[in-house]
Amino acid sequence: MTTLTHPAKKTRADKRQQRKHVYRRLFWRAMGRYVSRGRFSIRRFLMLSVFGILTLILAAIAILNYYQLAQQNLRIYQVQLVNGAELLSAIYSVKMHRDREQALSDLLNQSVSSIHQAAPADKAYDLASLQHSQQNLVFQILNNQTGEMVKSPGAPEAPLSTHDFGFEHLNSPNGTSWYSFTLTNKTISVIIAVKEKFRKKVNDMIFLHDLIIILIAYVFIAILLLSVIYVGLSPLRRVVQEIAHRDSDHLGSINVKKVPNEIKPLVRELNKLFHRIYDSLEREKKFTADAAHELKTPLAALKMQVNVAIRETDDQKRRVLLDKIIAGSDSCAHIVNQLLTLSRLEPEAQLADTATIELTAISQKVIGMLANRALDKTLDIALMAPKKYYITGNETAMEILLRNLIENAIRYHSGGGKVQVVLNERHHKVYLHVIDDGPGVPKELQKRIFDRFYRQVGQKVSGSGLGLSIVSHIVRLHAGTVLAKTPKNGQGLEVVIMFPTFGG
Amino acid sequence: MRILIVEDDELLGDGIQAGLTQDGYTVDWVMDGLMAKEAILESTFDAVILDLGLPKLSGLEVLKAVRKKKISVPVLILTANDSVTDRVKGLDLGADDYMTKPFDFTEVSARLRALMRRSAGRSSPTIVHGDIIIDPASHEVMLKGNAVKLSRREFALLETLIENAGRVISREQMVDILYGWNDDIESNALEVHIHNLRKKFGSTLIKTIRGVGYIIQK
Repeated sequence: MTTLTHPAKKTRADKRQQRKHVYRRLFWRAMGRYVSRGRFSIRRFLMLSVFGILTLILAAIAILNYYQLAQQNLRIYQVQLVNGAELLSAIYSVKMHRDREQALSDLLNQSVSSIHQAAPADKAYDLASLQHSQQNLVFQILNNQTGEMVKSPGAPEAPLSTHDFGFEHLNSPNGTSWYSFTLTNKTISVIIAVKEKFRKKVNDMIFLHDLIIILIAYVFIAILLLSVIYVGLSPLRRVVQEIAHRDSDHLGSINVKKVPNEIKPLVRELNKLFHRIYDSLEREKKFTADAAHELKTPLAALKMQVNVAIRETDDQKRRVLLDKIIAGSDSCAHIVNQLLTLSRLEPEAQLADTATIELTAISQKVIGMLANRALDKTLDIALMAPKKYYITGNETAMEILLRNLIENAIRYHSGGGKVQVVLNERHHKVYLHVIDDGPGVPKELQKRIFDRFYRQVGQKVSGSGLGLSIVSHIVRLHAGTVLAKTPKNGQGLEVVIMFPTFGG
Repeated sequence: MRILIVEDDELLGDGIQAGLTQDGYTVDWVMDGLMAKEAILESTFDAVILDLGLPKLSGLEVLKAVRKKKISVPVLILTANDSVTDRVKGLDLGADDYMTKPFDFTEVSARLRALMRRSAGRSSPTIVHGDIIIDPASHEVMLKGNAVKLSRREFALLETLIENAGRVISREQMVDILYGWNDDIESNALEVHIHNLRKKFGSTLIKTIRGVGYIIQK
């Protein structure tokens, strides 16, 4: 790009440059569109290119050949004319009588026609006789002193050339074009000429023969090259066939050895993808199985309670049992909701819809929703967040995370204590703490509580075992870390989550 | 009072019918969308409980058809799908309220009553919370049968807290309510009002959630 001191004064060269840029860009955009529209085929590209190049080259050869033949033809005729002129000049230099001159001319003509009759059918002789019989090659011998002319039949009456020496392209009075050679000595001028039409005809005939050879070669080369390209690309077709014949559950690797080097990387990546899909499918199967498994027990418990309630005759006791049944069905519903949440999150490798979110506001919202439940258990719930904390993430996912953490703290607490949500920032990282003074978790199990479906042995409080694994997954999606530890005062559980922020 | 239940699940439909009958309503029950549409167009109901996942015609389609005919019967939607978009769609198409499954029947009952009250035109009934009765129209408050005197601001705060019982009202939201009275706000005006309310109604009514706001428990 040229730098301009006066942006208004664009020179013509700059405009041309700009236009070239624009055309180039348009061209590549068109190419890109052609490729991306899916009509791009390597085979077609190769075939068309090879075909095009071949055509161009052979056309060039044919054209060059024509011009070269034209040159050669001229030279050959030049030689022929010179030879003829010299011969005639030599013969006529000898002083002769007038009638002998005529006799010599007739003799010359006669001998040629006899050659014509005697000659076998042969192209070479045909050409020569053609040259002569149609009077395409003529001569004129001028006597410089007397002005008399001896000429071959077919030569014009007037001398063709007025020069003393040399080659000329000229026209006779009746319009015929001639190529002539003139030789002059003391007594005579010899002019020998060939009809341009005939000369060109000879040239064209030879060129035609050449052209036929070129065309035959062209056809053969084209067929060979195109076949080679077609065959060369057949390994691709083979791979396609192999994959096309697979069932949807056949996710085994494609054999890389039989595949050409250029496609090996592609096939290797495909194999890796198959592997990933297979793993993902296995994980989903396992998840569904786990989920079904997890629901069996609460449902069995429910049914058990119903059985007991049916048999209970005392109204008061039955009422108590029925309340337990409601609690049991609530528990099932809770598990199902957690499973749904988890199943929506699990396939995500990355967060969708990320934005800048503010954690203090989200914490306030979630605590606001859960405060009543905490108070029902006489739990004091509080938020310690001195300012606003911004991170990149998904607001809905963050709400789910906080809800699960706080619900957990409330659920497993026997009551009469407190739950604290604390936000602070250190070294470009935002820390979220959820601290409770409930039963806590022994140190050796603190890592395991984030496992899916993990519940502590002997845990009497109903739960799904999924809450913390949901939390752990969401933290991972936000590129953060989570750990569980015992709070400073030794009582309860503290879950600490670290979120990176823009600087970190 | 005549209620129509539209629910394709046998057990659930039967349960709701039994529950509403216990409450003293006359209950009709249909199990698919086409029958629901016909029933609503032909007969008059005081309320409709509409499940969304129906055979033959979806719940939302039934709702659309009914509202098109300018029938304004109160509709309570039941849905297993708790996504916000679905809820919004239902409300936009003309439902009056929604409930997600599984639900507590007592809540359905209460919401049904609220729906029918609203359609009958009584929009400001008295609000009852434990021993407290608030009459929004006259701004009178009773505690255990005795009238309690409250300033306008105190009344506004109390009404908001009780109407939203079970949910935390943030400091900002409460200050907004006070600010609406066009007076200058002192820095601890809110705390003063809360303190006064606690003096009049007992210290356990309004709970402080530090860092978030205030709440009256359900």
